[in-house]
Amino acid sequence: MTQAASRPTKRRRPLDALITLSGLSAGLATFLIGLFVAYDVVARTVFLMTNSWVTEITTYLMGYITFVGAAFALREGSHVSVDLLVCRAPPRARRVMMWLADAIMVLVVATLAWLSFGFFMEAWDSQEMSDTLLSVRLWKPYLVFFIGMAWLLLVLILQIGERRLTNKQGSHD
Amino acid sequence: MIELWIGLAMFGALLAALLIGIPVAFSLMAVGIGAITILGGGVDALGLVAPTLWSSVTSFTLTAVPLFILMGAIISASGMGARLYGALATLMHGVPGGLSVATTLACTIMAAVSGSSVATAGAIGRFSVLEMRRFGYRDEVACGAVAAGGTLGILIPPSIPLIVYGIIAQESIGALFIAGIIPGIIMALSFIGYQVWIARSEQARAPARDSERVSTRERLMALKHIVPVAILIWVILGTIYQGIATPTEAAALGVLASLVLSGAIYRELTREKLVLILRETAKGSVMVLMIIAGAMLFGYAMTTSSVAPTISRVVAELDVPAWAAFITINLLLIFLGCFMETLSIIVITAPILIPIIVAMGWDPIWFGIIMVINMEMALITPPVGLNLFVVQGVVEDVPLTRIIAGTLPYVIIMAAVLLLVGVFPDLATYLPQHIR
Amino acid sequence: ITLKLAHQWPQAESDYVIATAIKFAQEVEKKSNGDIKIQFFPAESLVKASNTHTALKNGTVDLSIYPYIYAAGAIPEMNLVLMPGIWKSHDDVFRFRNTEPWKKIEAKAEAYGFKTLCWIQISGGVASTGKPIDSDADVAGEKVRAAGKYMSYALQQAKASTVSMPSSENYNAMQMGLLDAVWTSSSSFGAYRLYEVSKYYVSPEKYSIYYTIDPIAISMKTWKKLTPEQQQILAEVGKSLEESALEGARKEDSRVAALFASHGVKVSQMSLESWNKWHALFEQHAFPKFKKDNPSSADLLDEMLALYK
Ligand code: NA
Ligand code: NA
Repeated sequence: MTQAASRPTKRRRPLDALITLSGLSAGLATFLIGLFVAYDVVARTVFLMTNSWVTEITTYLMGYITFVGAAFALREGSHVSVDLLVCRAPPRARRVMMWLADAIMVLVVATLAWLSFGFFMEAWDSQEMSDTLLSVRLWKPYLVFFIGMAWLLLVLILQIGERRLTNKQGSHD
Repeated sequence: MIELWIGLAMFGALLAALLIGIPVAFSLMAVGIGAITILGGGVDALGLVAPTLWSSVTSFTLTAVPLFILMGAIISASGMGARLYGALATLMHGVPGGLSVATTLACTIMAAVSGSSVATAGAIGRFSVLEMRRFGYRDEVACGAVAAGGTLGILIPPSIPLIVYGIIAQESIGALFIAGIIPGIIMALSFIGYQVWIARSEQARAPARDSERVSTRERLMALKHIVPVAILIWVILGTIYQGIATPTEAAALGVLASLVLSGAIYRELTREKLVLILRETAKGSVMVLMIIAGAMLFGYAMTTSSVAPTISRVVAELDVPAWAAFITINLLLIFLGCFMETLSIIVITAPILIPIIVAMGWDPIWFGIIMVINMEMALITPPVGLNLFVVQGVVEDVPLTRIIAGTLPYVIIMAAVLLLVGVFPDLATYLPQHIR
Repeated sequence: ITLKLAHQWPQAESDYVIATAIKFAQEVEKKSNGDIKIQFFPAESLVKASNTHTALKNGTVDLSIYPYIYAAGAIPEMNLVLMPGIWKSHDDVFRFRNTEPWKKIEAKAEAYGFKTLCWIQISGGVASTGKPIDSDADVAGEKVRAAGKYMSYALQQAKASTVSMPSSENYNAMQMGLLDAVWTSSSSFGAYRLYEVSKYYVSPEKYSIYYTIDPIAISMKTWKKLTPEQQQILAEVGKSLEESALEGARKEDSRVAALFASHGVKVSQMSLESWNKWHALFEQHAFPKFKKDNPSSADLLDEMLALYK
């Protein structure tokens, strides 16, 4: 059902800790959403108070969870995939498929990183703001999008490289 | 009708990407980006890709999804499921097939606080499968009850698939939630009916437990384990239907309440468990949100190249009788359900199916329930059924084929309920129209 | 050529906004002898309403009908087209089309990346469950959904609590009592059947605090690719439909008021007195807030206010 998680090797430890940290921070962002929204309901129901920032800040946290958490989910193998065919294919065909899949993944994620950078730059140049009472400069949340995709690209390339290395060593043994 | 060929090529490319093992989210994005570039005449056409991805996940309504995932992780760490199951097993003592009936009941109650089937099966399954096997239930019976019971998690509110469907269909999530109640109860009762029947017809293998006696006092004591779950149900569903919170806000209140329950009352929240909760929440949320982002991009590619509008128009113009359309759509969903993960099916098919539903003059709320019953089947049909894998994770010594044998009767029951709700749409639409 | 027109509503000809756009497409095709075709992408299928200005700017969408307030993050002056308490009637709004302040705003929009072809306006009243919301004195302690950020801000100052949710939840929220009052457009009241769950409705037929514009716009990128003849056709057809769009807006207001009445909702009209009370509230809170947020556009707001003295 899911891609097998690759085991970290010794020299990747610090980077691995960073991946875990980015994942935990995405989990924490979910906690924050829960706290903010619950606080908003209580404030409204009990104190008739309105917090204009809650709706907006939580949506930015959603962006954070999705894009910054993507690399962690990749390492943990939690992006669902259909591996019916890959599992049953003969070794040779399987290698071709995996090679192709890796190439496409890198291409897609690189495109996403490039597009999200353009998205960020456009908001930076125009200094466009969110159309709310909070009026946030949109390049700030958009930057999170780019950072997440760049981080995903890095982790993806390292993961592919490492798997190839292990496979090669495996075939020599 | 060049659009239909383009559409066919896009679905073909998607299938190919999926089959070589690219994760669903990235397959959708790959085909989306590829199609936009080719059909739009170069990379300049990609101008809306980043805004589409960004706005597809940064929606306030959608925050309910990670919140329900977080709540599921907290509940799972709290051990609430095992306590609930234990209590119901005591209460159901003496009923034929009591332990499997208790499984369905526990799943039904757990479903009213959990938004996903895997979380429901996980919360109840770990403990109940072992109990049933300990008392001599056949593997098929034990595994089937858990795998099928878990699927109630997405039909009985709250439900992550219904949230996602509601966002795509632009329908009220509150109304979709309430529409799932009657079909959910019918489904649970059908399961129980089947379980009692099978226990009676297999009396030779009657569970040993029936020889023990359970006093009224024990039964009353068991009730207290249901109280915390009842409170949680009120926090999540009660606040929605008493006008205190929107479904999104109710999810946040649910997180807070389950945190208090498992931390202060059960005292189960150690540091390790908190870290585990964060990890599980991040993994589950990112997985779902990336699929949604991918599907929105794929949908955008289908729309901007006029593929989706053309498909919807052509189907609407075919002028097929309603029953034939209904059967075709369901067969398609069941077929996809055999091979794909449920949320992916919803996000890929709903944007195309909903305009067709509306053109047929059907109620999108009703169709949401039809869709979710199909997804329940998808969760337990081979070869790819998430709940099958959850159960297998608990009982590794039981071969998958026996688990599947145990769940197949439930697939038939679900198909019957699907037909029932299909023929009597009021079963889904009566409550949303008459609440208050 | 085929131009892509994106909008956020269902493709229902009964809606005057959509009807105007369909008429626009037909006339343009006819006048250009089939040279210019317009393809509709309804219900946000191509682009989210809030992203429309970006799509127009980079040319991924050629034409659109969308509430210009969505562009206010990029063009702060656009906040003025949803500023409550400036316009009191449809006539006030329609007159704005040919004024100096609008020309200034339009210049900003064109510099940003889109141009107005057909002026379409919308208005809305307020539906409520507990009591009729006639003036600002009625909102204290009420849970409301406002139209736009400056109305929200002023209502909060008047002791209302504002709840945010997608329009699709309005019905349930009113039914369950999560919302006491909703400001939205006449069309939305109709589309979401809010007359079924309301007790009171203050109709915008005479005066209202909620008016805004929802024009047909064209991407400047697309515009520059067209020949002068094609540009002329689009501009002329757009202009020629503005009067009937205004008529459509008025009819929609009456239709929705009648719909409320036929469902047993107590319908009332806003009086000029009440409007003046609202105006005082916005003068005290919304206008200064706008000036503080957008110091460079403060004069523009004063110019607008001077027009309607
Ligand atoms: Na549920
Ligand atoms: Na399946």
